[in-house]
Amino acid sequence: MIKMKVRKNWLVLIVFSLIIIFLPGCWSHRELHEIGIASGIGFDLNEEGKIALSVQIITPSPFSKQTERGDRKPVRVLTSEGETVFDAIRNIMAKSGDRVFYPHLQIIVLGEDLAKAGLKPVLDFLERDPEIRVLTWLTITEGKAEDIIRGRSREDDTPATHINRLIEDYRATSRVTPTSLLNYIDMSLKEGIEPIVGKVSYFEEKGEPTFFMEEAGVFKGDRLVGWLDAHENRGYLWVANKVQSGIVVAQLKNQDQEKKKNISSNSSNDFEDLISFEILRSKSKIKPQLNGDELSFLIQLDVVANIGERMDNESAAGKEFIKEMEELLRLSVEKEVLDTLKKAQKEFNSDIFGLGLTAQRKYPEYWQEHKEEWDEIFPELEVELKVKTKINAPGMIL
Amino acid sequence: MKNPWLKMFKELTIRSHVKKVRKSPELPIDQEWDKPISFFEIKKELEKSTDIVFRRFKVRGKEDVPCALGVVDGLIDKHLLDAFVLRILMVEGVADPIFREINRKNIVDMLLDVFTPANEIKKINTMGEAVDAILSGDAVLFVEEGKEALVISARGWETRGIATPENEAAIRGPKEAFNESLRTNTSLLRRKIKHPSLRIIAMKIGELTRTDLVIVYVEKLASQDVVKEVQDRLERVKIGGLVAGDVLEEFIEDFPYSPFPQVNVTERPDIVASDLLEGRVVVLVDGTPTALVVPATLNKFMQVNEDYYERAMIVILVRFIRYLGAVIAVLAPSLYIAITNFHQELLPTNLALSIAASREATPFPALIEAFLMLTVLEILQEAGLRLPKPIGQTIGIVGALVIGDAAVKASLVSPIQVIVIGITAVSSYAIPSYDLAIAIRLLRLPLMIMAGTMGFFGLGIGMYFVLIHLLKLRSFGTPYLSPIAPFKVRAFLQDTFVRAPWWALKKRPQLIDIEDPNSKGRK
Repeated sequence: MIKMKVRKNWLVLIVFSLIIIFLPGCWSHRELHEIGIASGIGFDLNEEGKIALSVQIITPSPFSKQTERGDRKPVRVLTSEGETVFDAIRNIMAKSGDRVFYPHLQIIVLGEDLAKAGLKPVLDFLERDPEIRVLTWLTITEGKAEDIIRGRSREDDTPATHINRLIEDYRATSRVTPTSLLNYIDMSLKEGIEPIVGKVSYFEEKGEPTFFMEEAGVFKGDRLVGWLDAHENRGYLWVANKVQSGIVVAQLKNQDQEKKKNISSNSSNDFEDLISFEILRSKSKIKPQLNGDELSFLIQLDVVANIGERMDNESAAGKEFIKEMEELLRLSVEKEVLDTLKKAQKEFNSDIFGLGLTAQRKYPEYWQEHKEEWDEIFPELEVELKVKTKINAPGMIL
Repeated sequence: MKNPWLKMFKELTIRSHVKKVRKSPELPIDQEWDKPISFFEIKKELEKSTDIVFRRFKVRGKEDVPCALGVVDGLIDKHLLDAFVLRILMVEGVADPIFREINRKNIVDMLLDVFTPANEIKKINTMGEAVDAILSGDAVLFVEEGKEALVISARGWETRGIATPENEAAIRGPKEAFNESLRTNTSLLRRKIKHPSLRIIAMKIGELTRTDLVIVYVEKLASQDVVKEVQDRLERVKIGGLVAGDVLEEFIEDFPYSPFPQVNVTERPDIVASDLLEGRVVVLVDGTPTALVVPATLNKFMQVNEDYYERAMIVILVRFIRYLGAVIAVLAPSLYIAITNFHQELLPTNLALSIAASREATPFPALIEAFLMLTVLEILQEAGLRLPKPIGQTIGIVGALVIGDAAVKASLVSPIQVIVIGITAVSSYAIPSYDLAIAIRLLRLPLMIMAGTMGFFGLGIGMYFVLIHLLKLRSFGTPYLSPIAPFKVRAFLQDTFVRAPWWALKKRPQLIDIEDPNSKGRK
């Protein structure tokens, strides 16, 4: 009797495991070579007001079989349009033949028209879809995103990888605003800070395809309101604490130089009074100050730099000289930051620095009271900038 | 017990020990096993085999007493018997005045006490003892009419010398291995542990083979419960023929339906000696050059004795590599299948692309591909195992050419798959115990199916099953995963993933339940 029962139990166990294994079959199984790995995706708004999608899909072979690379391009680009983003994505699938696979996405490009019309509808899909990683870089472009996605790249690389590398090198260049999807969502959800997204542009320089990433698009809410050029972009980066390296070029104008010019004016070049500072590190701090009902801000910047080069090939050193150089560097940095600040306050009225955020943290009561009218307060804000510079090494030459 | 599953497992474990006795052939002599000795009946029965010899002679004391020496030719030392038994009884003894007092009644005692200068001699009086003694290689001195006999130990048969271990090679440490002779094997242990507490208990198993075996343990160190359990389980073994001691493993293990080995098998006396000092119990079987050691834990299968001879710091690295190898051997193919079929987002983009490119032309899904490759690997392993050495090289060449190269070039399998299977194969050789390596080979297949059908989810379920099973396993009362689960701090730190230096091992690591954990090997 017991034996019968035992045997029955075994049977149940075996049948159960077989059901577990075979009933779902290979559900959601997909072979690696049957999926199209997307490296970049672009969103546009077309003339009819539909979402236009362009996807860059990597063709696997050119990477692995170096010898028989032939004429095959490293990527192919598919486009589609749809009423909604998801609709457009499904339409791509109908064209591609492969199942398009998004987790390896390296960049998302937003077209200007779409950004001006508002990003909310696109972002919802990007946030909701589990296949798209929130750490994917978000970029914006003047004109159509499709042009960027269709851009060529170096032979051994996909265009998306190329852009991705430009962004990820921001630590070295300190000229690129790196905004991931997560950063953007973070910035757009928080009160007192407006999103800023790195701008990518594509052009061919004497036949050589080039991407340029040193500008940025400024948002107000979910709408694009304007652009920062390379100079202003770095002004933003100083305050956003994203300058870790890079070069500041400044004009030498001391009496020493004047004297020299007088002696041999005919031998001097126009650029001979230029000097490059190599930034070693920089740190910023935004301090809100409340005086009665009057809110003002103090932005502190600590910059440490080396003298990287002097175009006049002089090896002047000494305490005095270094002091002068520190002052020179201070002025240049200050100018960059102030230009951006002015543009953000007066032209865009967009708080990309997150001044409101710091105020909210330090003076929550004030913020509760005034957040409705922040748009009126922000452009008129009193912002004091204190830049402390330090020259670490004047650089020794023979 | 309400849980039907528990009951089921209980049934299984009990069933394994109550094996049915296979009927052995019965001879008339078997009926008279316990009766007093009758020389003529023994002679009648045993003389049918030509290797059994009866030398009949007369002891000429007070009266002529017909005697006989029964031996198995080839199992005895002829010179010894000639010089110390026959020569004295027939020639030299006669000159002795006491010798002349020998008569039919006192002959057995006289011979026992005075006239047989052999170092091992015993008086017996049943048929069974006499037959056993002759067949085991002792010489039996019968008094033809009498009811008693003398067993003279004059064993001397051909054995293999003590050789170096063949399957458990070592760089450091002793390089001797057990051989097929039980006495030699026990002597090897006795030479390592010269202390009265080393106990060697004899038993016989096998209706037909009557194989000698011994249970060896160190008194006051080995748990009495374990010793008794070993004895009990061995006594319960009813088997016709025990040709090799390895057969016993299946009889005495706790979970016969588990893929994991629960008895440690080794051919090296130094390993056995240190196991004895750890409080384990050892079974040595005559005719088998390996020892069975219980209780066994998973941890034990991952160690080799060189770990104790090499310096501690190096051992930590070596053991880490070994455990890593075990993990790779279990998981590598399943991880590959799961990732390439279900979780492509886990791969770095470039790796995903190169795998995709390499798999572009291959006809089978990754799961089938892995199965094909593993099958070929297993066939190669099995084919290479028993090949004579001169032919053995062929396997290597065929394996490397056909699998490594041609299969990839013909786009039958992807090169990445070859790498994965190669790593798996090599990793499984990093496991020192062959038994455990086989178990892992066995586990690999179901895990691959789980990974191929449900990805990480399935792999997780599979691993949970394995883990639960491991947690449930016991070897002679010792949890299989100890000292990891249940966690014992001292044992874990002293001798598990790491080995503490010898000078830091002030107390005996409690890897298994032992009688007196604070003793240092000597009471």
